[in-house]
Formats: sequence, structure tokens, C-alpha cells
Amino acid sequence: MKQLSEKIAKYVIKTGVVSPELYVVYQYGFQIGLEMLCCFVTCLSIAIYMHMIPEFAIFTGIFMLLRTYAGGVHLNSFGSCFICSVTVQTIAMYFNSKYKFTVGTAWLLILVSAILILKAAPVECINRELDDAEKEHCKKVTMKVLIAVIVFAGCCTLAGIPDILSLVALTSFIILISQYVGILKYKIEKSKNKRR
Amino acid sequence: MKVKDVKKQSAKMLAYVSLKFGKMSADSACCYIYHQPKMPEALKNMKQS
Repeated sequence: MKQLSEKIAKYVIKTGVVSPELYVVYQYGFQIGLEMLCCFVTCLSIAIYMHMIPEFAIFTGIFMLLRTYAGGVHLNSFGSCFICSVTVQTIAMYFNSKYKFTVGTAWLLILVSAILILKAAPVECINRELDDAEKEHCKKVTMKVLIAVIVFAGCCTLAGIPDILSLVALTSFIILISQYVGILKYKIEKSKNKRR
Repeated sequence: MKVKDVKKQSAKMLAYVSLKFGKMSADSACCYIYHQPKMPEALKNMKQS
């Protein structure tokens, strides 16, 4: 993906629409965009194959919104990241189609996850460290997203859709695990960097 | 002439999309997926200015 993004960035600069000094900015943007698109299209294709498009939309919506601001684990290469992202999403959807949490368990999981996600947010990564203002902004948005998730879960309960409620609980729990793994990874990488 | 215009327009569109993704990444803790390339200093400076 890095090579492809470099080629596109070079092409854009060659046409003269952007300044060559901004090469790194555009290359970074293309790399992020391509990686996200690639992952999204693969997950969507799997969801279509599994006939689980609404579940995919809910999982991805909550996952994207929460992870963007609450943070989580990041892997060091796109290959491992791609496999991990697709596997997690597929397993979550498969698990939810086979086993469902009861309404009580789902609510317990949602509320506990929400509290712990907010407490841990935002999780930094060695390639994306946040300053105090950014941390405050991310925490505020995370809280808003979590309130929206709880309201959505409430609507699912009232509308009598336990399948979706169970999926919301599972998604929140996956994000929570991802956050704690991310915290651990960040601490290990930070201490490694200090030793160097 | 027309081909050149199309090329320039598509490059402009690509540049716009790329900048949007970069800014989106700069405004958040992480992306949707599990990979985060190192954020360039130039993007941080752009955000601050």
C-alpha cells in the first residue's frame, strides 16, 4: 500500500496541482485512504456473502466511530492489520449469528464496556501520540459516541431486536479489548524506545 | 488539451481526497483499521496552523 500511495502522490505532484513540499502529507493521506478502503471493501464483500449487511453496517458504524476517538491496538504492518481487521469482523458477525447474549447480559456488557472505554480513552499509539488538547477532544467525542450507542441499544431493546442488542454488546466488548491490548503494546514499545 | 484537463482534474480530486483522509487522521486517535503509519510532521504543523 505504501508503494502504491507513493506512486499516486508522485503522479499528483507531477501534474502540478500540489506543491512538492507536501509530498509526505499526500502520500500519508493516500496510504491511509487505500488501507481503509481495501479493508472496508473486503469486509463488505464477506458480509454480502454471509447475508449480514445490516449487522455489518451496525458493527462497522459503532466500531469506526468509537475506535476513531477512543483508539485501540495498532499492528506494525498493513498485512497483519488487514488479516486482523477482517478476521475480527468476520468472527464477530459469525459469533453473533450463532450465539446471542440475553438482554440482561448484553446490557451489562454494554454498560461495563462503556465505562471502561471512556476511562481508557484515548489510547495512543507509538506512531500517533496525542497532545493534551487532542486527548481532551477525543475523550469528549468518545463520551458523545458512547451515549449514542447506549441510546441505540435502548431503542433496540424497546423495539424488541435482541440480535442487534447482542451485536452492540459484542462490538463494545471488542473495542474494549482492543483498547487494553493497545495500552499494553504502547507501553512495551515506549519502554523499548527509551532503552535505545 | 482535453486529456490534459481530465488528468489535471482527476489529480486535483485525488489530492483533495488524500488531504481529507490526512486531516481526518490528524483529528482522531486512530483509524478504522488496525494499522497506523507514522504521521508526518508536516501534517501536524498544518493542523496547528
